[in-house]
Amino acid sequence: MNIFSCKHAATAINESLDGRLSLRKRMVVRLHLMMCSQCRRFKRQMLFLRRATQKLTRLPEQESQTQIGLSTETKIRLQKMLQNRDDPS
Amino acid sequence: MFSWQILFFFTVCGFTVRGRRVDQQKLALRIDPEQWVEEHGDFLFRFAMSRIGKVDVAEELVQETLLSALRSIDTFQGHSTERTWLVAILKRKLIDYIRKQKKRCTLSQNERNDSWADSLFDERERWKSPPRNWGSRPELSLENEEFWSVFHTCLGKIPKQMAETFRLRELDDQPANEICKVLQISQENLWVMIHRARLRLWKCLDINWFEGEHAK
Repeated sequence: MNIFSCKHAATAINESLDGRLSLRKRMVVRLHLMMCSQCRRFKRQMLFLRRATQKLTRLPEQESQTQIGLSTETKIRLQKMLQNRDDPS
Repeated sequence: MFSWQILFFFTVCGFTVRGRRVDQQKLALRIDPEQWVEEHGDFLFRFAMSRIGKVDVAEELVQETLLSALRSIDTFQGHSTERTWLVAILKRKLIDYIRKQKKRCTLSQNERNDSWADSLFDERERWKSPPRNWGSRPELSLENEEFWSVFHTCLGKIPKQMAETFRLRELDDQPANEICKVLQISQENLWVMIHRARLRLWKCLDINWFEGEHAK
């Protein structure tokens, strides 16, 4: 990893999000971040992205802005299916 | 002194056991398959739609989920809510569905080089346009409905297989080796694709949300 390369730093920041950064790379990227404010900002923004994704996982209701849902016919069909569960048929 | 400690220990244990029993009874009462469609139907459907995007498939997956849940109702431990439990089953159904799809159609070609990602950097591997200032409190955006709408649009713009990998890993929290099996890709490829997806999402939010007033 080239210590002056923002491209390498960006890859390393990504790897750190997945917990896959080797010790050596971690040292190099730390040095790079010390001298590169642009990559420091990039790292903060990637961490923000991670937080946003995690929030999305916790609140899947928000995933769809248009409140789509099952059609009435499907609901009735599923309802019947669940009600008749003890039937031998 | 020692016997007091023992007595205290058993008292605490007793309370815990009794508490747990009461909880389980409560949860057993709360499980009511006839309410599933009304209470969770739309939610499960939306969840499936957000991953698959086809009405008929989503409906079918919801049906399979409910049937599966019905069959395994005794295994519901009450460690989670009914909804979390149903979503967990749905996630397995989704994985099965994607796996079957993969068998049917050939994989889209993985590009070795990602010229889009390369274009972010100049020949000296520095940022072509440095990351923009996102303001002092970008987290406020997380409370904004418009932000989520942009977020979804951006997710939708990521190339298909990249997006699929990203969703399975980051949204569904599937283990890496499981995703590799389902999508038939190598681990190395998986991480590369997640990396690329993140970069695209980042750039898209940057342009469509943080540029302009939201950064203030």
